[in-house]
Amino acid sequence: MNMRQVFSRLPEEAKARLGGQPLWRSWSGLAGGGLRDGAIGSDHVKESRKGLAAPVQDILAFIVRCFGPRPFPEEKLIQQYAAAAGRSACESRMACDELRRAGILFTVRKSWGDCLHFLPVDAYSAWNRELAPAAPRPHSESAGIRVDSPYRPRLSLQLLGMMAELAKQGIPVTAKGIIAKKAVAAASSRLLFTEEELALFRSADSAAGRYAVSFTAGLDAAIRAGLLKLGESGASWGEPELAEWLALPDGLRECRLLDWAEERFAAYDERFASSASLLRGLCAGSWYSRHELEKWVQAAGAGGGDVLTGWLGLMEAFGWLQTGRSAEGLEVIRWMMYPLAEGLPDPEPAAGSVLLLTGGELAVPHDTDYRSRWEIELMADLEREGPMTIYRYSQATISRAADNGRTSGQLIGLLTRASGGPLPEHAAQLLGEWGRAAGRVRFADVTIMSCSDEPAADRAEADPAVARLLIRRLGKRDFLIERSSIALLRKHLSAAGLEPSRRVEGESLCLYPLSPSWAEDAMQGTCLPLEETAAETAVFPNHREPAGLLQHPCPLYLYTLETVPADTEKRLPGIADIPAAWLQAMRDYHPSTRKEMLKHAIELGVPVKLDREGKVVDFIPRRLEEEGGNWFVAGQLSGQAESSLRLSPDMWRGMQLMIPPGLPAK
Amino acid sequence: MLTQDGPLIVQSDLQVLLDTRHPRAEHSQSRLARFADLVKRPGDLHTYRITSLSIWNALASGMTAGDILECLQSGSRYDVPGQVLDTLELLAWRYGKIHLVRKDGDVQLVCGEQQLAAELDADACVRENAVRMENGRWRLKPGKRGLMKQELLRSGYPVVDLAGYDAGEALQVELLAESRSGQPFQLRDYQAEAVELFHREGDVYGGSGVLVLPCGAGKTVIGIAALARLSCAALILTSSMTSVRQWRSELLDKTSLTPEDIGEYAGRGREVKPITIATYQMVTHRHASTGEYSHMRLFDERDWGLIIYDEVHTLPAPVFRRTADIQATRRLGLTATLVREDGREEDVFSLIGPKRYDLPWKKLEEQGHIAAVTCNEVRVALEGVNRDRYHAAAPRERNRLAAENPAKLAAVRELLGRHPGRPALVVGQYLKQLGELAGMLNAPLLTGQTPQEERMRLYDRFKQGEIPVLVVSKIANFAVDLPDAAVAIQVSGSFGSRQEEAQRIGRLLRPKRGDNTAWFYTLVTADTKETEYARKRQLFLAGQGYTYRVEEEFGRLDEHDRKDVAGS
Repeated sequence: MNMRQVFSRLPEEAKARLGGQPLWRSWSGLAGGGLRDGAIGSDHVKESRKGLAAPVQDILAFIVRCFGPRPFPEEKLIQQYAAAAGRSACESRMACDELRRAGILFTVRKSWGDCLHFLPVDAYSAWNRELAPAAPRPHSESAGIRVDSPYRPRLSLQLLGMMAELAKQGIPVTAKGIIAKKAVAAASSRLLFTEEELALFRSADSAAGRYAVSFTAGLDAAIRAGLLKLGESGASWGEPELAEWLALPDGLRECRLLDWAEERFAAYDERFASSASLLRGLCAGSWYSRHELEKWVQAAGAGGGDVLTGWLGLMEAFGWLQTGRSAEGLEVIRWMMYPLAEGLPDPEPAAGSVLLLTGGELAVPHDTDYRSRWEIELMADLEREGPMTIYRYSQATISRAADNGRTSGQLIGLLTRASGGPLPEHAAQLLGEWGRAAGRVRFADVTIMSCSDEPAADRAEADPAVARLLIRRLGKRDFLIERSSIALLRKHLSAAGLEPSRRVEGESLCLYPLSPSWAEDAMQGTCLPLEETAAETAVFPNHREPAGLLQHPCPLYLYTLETVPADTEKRLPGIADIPAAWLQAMRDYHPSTRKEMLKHAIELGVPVKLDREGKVVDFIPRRLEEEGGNWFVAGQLSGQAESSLRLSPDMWRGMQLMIPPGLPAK
Repeated sequence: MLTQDGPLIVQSDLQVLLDTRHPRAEHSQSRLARFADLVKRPGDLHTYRITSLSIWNALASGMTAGDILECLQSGSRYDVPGQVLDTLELLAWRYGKIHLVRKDGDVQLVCGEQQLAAELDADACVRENAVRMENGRWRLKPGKRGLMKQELLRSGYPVVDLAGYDAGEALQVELLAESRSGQPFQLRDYQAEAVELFHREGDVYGGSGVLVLPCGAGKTVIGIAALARLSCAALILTSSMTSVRQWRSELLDKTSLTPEDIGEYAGRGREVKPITIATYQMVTHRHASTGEYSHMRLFDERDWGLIIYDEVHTLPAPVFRRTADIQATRRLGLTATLVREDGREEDVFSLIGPKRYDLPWKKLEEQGHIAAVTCNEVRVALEGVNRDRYHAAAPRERNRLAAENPAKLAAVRELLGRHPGRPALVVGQYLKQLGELAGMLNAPLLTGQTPQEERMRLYDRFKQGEIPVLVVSKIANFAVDLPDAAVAIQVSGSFGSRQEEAQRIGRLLRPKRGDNTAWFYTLVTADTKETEYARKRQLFLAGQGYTYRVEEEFGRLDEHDRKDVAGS
């Protein structure tokens, strides 16, 4: 779960309480900020950290390092942390509660009562960067670096291509409720990351079955962003979400996809999660030594070279990262995008302008506005992909656009806007001609062939190959035909210069969604106004992000969010049975009493003060041991994780049970 | 993505796009053209392709690997993919590793690179055609110079031929300051540059190669200038009898040569003179009974100092084979495009020589050295009973019916009427249609059946302005020297042939007096397959930067006329 999902599930009073916490005070979800700020910033984290006491920071660091964004039962944390940090169980629980009150750590309760704590994945990422050692400096010699990575379009472009291919086919769904193979094949061809590149990540396992792993991942990204909806009744587009996504500034769009990737692929394994979050803290565009990064990531506890290699490989596959080598042969890497939303520059209108070449070719630079690109994907076929992608429109593609409701006037308008100027004559002529020819003949239903005008009907009838397939003419423009003749009629009509529509009225296919038109002032170069949908407003109590196709091994969204930190009194069950005297002052007790006191201390998880040769020490008893008729207590000195003591009752004199601060004393 | 500021977009497949809108485009273009081949230049985005041949050609011209990489990296808008740089470095590294040298009367193959020398030692062609002398040095068997170069190039190793040339029989040839037809004559600067790059002041790095220039740029003059530079006996091979006559005419007009110095070895003629002009057809003619290429001996008839291969893109395979044997003779290839349908560009490189010069069409036009041609596609309606016949016909027949659309006749008349006084050609595919046109326009008709003498006579009269219009068949596709044709109207063509379209427009490119403008019209029957063929035909020229203006509705009947036609 991420911050947004957590927030959406909280009741109002919990939200109000969170609003007072430093981490949440500045978060846009509460502050009503724009889409740009939909992430937790490093400043928020720093401020939040300042407000945490040292023991609380300490346990947070432990959680970040050992669990990452994975959920964990409290007892597991206490067991591991208390011993590792030299803290009592009770102190550890207290610190945990502090984190929950600060809105850093959250808890879900399973239906059978078990509880799990977790850090929201985006919050974890920010905390990991905050608590990690400082990042290495960028490589000083950036000149002369040779890029090894082949060109890969960034993930958003790959997804746009995938969705365009699905849209062109109308997302046909079989009787079993899965997308038809042909559409899947066409869509998959636009995704350039492979099954091998995803193989390292556990979430990929859950994708097996219906579709290839790569396509499942692509679909998941689209579904999670609300762009596409797959249900039992078929598939549909989230048109408002798609419109918004297309209109996003490039940097923000990519950043959100990186959030998705981190959540879907890294969050299952704390080593990947750590590598992923640390790398996000690097500067965009700067080269870093891979060797230095590896040392840094290992120092931060993120695991070995394979982990970093795996994550870098995935980032490269998504077109976000490049590898290269310096003149001295040093391996280097750099981000090709801004990995953190807070690092994004102010959005500017997309600068790339389309070039209209002869022969129906369009040269589309990588930074072309996605709204234009979406329409170009419909009206033209992809020829060559690269930093300058070449498309080609033809009679067939213009007909396809017409079938999806685009007129030649609209296409001319689109290309005029996208190219920044009037169309060359050859392009306008071709578009006009092909636009006029498109859809002159339509199949209105399975038995009627309908022409747009009488001359078209006359022409169809005059063609012998067509005429053979016509049963009877109805009026001036229509003919009765056999449904089974449609395919053959299409062929003959096309040969006769009457390009028939590809659609048959009455078929239930999705039309290619229309790209939103953009405001006049956008064409004049001012910043695009960023739209907010209901999903992005500050308070959306019923917001549920779609589950997607990649499954989390522990899907937290299935459980109830615990909003109220545990009653502090319940943190010391049985305190009422303890004599007050044990708590109030140092006293010398009979060995049997000492044993009893220690037993209670172990159960409560509290430390004890011991007077050893005139020196008072804080001791954390872990267990009682029997040997040769005598008993001993094993434990640690408080705050000294490396200490390990085994004491017999004669090794101290006075003792006192300690209740950690913040808990009610007797 | 990180973007730098540059006009080049380097793709992983070694294609390079040049954005001509960029302020540094011209500077980058002049460097890029030296190591990449221009594929097309439609509008503002020109496409170049880097190949092993283009790299080796560049290195042969004196460019270094560092120059090439620097040009790409400094001019690129995005990162140059590492594998592109690696590939270029490897290709460049291979160049210059293997040489042919002349020593002690032998031609020797030399390789200083140890690992490569070991590979050559194991190579079957080297073992068969050379004798190993020592590590990295082999003595070639006689007559194997060309074959060795050819085979090693196929293996990916270009050979630098420094073995030099035989001077050939000396022959005094000088360019005249004033042509015999009374015109001042001087090489244009690009022509002089092309000759220089070929000749390279007589050093061993020059003396063989291919020059690529547009139609009308004066390739014949360049060939003649190269000949004058070398002043030696020369064999000129060309594609048609008409070309033979043109070469002869130009040699006599512009040089000190006399008719006694020039022989024609084509048709019925078998003259072998110090300058001999032959056709490819002649030298590849096979004897009916023996199957021998009996005229190939022409290559040995004299001690040629230079062999000129005109229209080298059409070089027939037997001539390739023969050329492999004459590597000690200087060789010059001339063409408007170095693309062969059989893909044997590598053989051209290894056997004729590297590309020394390549000048885009539009660049010459900008400099005024060729005419500025306006290209128009005129859509002619097919109406009434003709339309019905078209739709009722079988697909193959439809092509002819569309091409022979009767409405085209009136269109030709109207178009000619737009350019009164301008010499015009009307070109087509179908003789019946051409005959009708010739009759309507009262113009002579030239076909393959027209005797050569009659052709030359009509060409002369056309040049003199006595005949304003010539109607010609497909023979117009080949080397026809009509310097003052200002208008060409194509009434039909061979399906989607880009080369034919380019050749026909090429008939207009020679510079004209006055406004140096020409017009090309292609008549296309609307709403038929001809429009599709027309689009394909135009692709090459679109790639050279030419755009076609489309005129629609030509010859469309109004209601009254339509009824008349329907009733006939």
